[in-house]
Amino acid sequence: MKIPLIWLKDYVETSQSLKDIAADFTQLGLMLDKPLDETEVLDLEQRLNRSDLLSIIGCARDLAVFENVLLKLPKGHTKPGKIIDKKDLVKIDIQTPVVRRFQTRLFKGIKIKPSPLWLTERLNAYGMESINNIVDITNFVMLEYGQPMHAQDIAKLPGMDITIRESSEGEEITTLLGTQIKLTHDTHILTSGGKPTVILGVVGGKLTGVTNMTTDIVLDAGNYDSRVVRKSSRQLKIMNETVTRDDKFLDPRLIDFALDRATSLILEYAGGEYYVNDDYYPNPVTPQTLILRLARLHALSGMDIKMSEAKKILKSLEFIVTEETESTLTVEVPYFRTDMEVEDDLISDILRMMDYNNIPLISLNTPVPTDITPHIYRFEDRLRDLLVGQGYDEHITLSLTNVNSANKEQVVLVNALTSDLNALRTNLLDGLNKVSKTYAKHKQNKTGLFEIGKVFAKSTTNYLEGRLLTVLSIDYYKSASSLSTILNSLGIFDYQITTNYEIKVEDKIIGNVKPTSYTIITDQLISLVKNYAGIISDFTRTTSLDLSLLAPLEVCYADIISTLSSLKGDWIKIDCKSFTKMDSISNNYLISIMWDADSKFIESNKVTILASLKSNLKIESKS
Amino acid sequence: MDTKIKQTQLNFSSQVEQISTPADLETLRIKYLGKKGELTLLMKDLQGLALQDKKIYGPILNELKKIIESKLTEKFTELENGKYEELDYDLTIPGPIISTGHLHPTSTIIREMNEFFRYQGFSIGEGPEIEDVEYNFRRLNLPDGHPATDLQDSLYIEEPNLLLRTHTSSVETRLLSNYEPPMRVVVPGKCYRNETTSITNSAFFYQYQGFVVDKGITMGHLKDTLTKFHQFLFGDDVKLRFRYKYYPEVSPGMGVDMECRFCHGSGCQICKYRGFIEVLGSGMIHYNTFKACGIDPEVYSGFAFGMGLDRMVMSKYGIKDIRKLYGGEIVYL
Repeated sequence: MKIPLIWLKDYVETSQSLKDIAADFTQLGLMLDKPLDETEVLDLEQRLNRSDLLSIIGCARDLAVFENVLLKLPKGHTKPGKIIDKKDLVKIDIQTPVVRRFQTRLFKGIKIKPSPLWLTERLNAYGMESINNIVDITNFVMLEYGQPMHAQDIAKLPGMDITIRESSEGEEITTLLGTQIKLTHDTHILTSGGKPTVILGVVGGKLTGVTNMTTDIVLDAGNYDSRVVRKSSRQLKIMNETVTRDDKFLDPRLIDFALDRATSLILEYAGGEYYVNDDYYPNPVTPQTLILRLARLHALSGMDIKMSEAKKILKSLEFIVTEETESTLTVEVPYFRTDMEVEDDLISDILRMMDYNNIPLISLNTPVPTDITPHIYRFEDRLRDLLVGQGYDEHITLSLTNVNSANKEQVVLVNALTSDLNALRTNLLDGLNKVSKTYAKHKQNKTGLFEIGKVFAKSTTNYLEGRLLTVLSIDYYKSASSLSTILNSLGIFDYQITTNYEIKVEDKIIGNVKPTSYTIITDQLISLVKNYAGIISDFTRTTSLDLSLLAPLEVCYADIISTLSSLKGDWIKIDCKSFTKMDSISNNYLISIMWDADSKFIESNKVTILASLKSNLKIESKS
Repeated sequence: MDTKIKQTQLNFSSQVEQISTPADLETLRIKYLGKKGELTLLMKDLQGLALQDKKIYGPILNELKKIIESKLTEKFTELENGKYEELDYDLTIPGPIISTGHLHPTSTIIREMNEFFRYQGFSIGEGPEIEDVEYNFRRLNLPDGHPATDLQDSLYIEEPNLLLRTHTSSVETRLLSNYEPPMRVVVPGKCYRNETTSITNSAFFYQYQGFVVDKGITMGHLKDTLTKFHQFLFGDDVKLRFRYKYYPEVSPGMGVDMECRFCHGSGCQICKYRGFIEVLGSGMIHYNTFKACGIDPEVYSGFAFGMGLDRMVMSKYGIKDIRKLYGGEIVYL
């Protein structure tokens, strides 16, 4: 919201510099959107819930209370208008529930001319061009009070009615700026004689626009369901001062103040006579009442604020005190404060006006609550440290990817803006491969990369989120060795890779391996971790049996392990010390089986082991 | 006396030159400076001298003691260093760097922040990234139709109820709904919004959220916690500005700005001539949020705060494009 200083000073007798006024607005919740320059216009950010702060008076009111100076409000024309002949009445017909109020006033015999200097000065300072006295007055009052309004030339109305309804497919309207718009079936519009004249809450049409020839006008101000305005504006890609205000929650009572002010300015600067016309207002608003408890004010602020102080602030913000006790204050919320929901919002206003910088600091002194950090969080942090220690760099890649129609488990987004980011990833490897390619392009030769993060899938009944660690290395050896090292550091000395390339620990599948990468399901791994394993205080002796095996090509190490496991030997562990491709018919594995030194059965074991390998896998002993 | 002193000095000088091991050096030290050492005995002899002679020989002996001590130290260092002269490498060459990996900048900053809050008794909270509007909006005092819940701003899995969480506040409502107070929690996490990617905006970003719920929690506690947090991150001289700011899920709401560390408040390009940089949003947890999560707001009160992490990560690491941060275009030195 732009606030020209010259306009602001019409209502607030502030003696502060522009910079200090900006600082005060900042404390009130309206920070500068753009830095100050020589134009003496404050460009303040908009607040989502305070429709009154989209008006100069609304901003002036807050500033006046904060600076503790007087607020001067303009006087509107409150005398009722004349009664018009029935035949000259513009009939109002509302055919949709999205209109809460629609008030119209008629002006006859007005003279269109340039606006007075003071008015054009203010509009220009705001950044709006002056057009003529009537259009300028509607714009001026909209900015002053925050209530959009329209003037239509009665002579140009196709019928003696204003009807509000949903548009039909294909209806057309040319806006005041000359843009031709073809409407779809669900835009809310004002029509006259069946023809669209205004897009509700968005923009007026050229057909009934005020020109230099105009003598009679119908002035309207409406209050609509903001969702409808927002929808039309987005659909038609029209954003303007009217939309900015109509898509906020305005109070229907604001219409009286705004139209009274406009009436007074029209009569003063365009002359003519004012006649009442229809005021559609089926459910008048009942003022909202809130109760402030002094105890709650103290409890939330941590300050000992006196009731008199709280009362003074609320009264100056135009809350009406309807009841008062030693510990409570019942107030009626002013019509322009549509943001007020609960008692705490009153507290918010009181503290805001007392300046947040004056709230004292208080140390958290309550007992420390029970820790609810999930174990997996710490565990994944530990995995990060272990991998960083191995020389791997962590990456975080996008969780969004493109749709892969072959992947039926993929979670697809219904409204993504781009087709390359319209689904959720199902693995981490794709992202890491991309990084790896970028590295290769820039000749960055790194040990490897890893990511710890979530992947997503859908099942028939719900959506699943899985936690993975994927490690990508520069070659197979680094990858295999990284996996062994990680598991070893976690106290897991024995694991197998199955023939499906899954990582198996104690009969549990915890992930899988690929030629240069491996993936671990972190919440599967966590239950297998031995936190204090890996340290010996008694040095035990071991003895081992080395076997050189010639295995047919179709046999892999996982098969050997699986056969040996079925023997249920009492060895401590089995290692593969080397692997060599011998010729076109066999591979050579050198494996080492380790026993406790006290074990006396190595030789007999050897016979059983070799016999079993030969009968199950056609493996020959080389030695 | 004169002769004795000179002789002792001469003897020591020639003997110390011949020493070749630290053990011999120690023997020599005892020979001269030990309880019955030669110099010690000479000093004892002083006592039998006339006052006049004492005044002459006292300082001379003290001087000699200093010479012997410094010579012994010199010889000791020489022997120690000599040990390395025969090595087949040069100890004075700086070594190559052992290649370790690196945490992602975002992980590093999250750890730094977690470290502060862990010591203040906060837990770390987690929640789903595919979220229900109930937790992402409704329980945060954002009823259906509120501008912030606009379908076009969020990424939906199933309209209108299932989306990718738009903030970490959804974890707050989940935890408030599932645990009993008191609670102190921080939530670092990924969030999503329906936006085309640019230098500063990404459909995917990180937030850091925190909240405290207990009996008697006030705005004063919130201000104090955030002040200490920023002192931890930026140093004790950090200057914060607390101001009113509207957020639907809190009331009263509070914005926090930090004085620009480049211009110290006078206004520059970095702070867009504001003198301050917005760092986070916060406030007292909304009455309606407490009720929606099944906590009695008449018994408990609490504060919450949240901030975007990426901007802080980028400024700390000097990364100018958010796409590089999560696109793998960062190279660790």
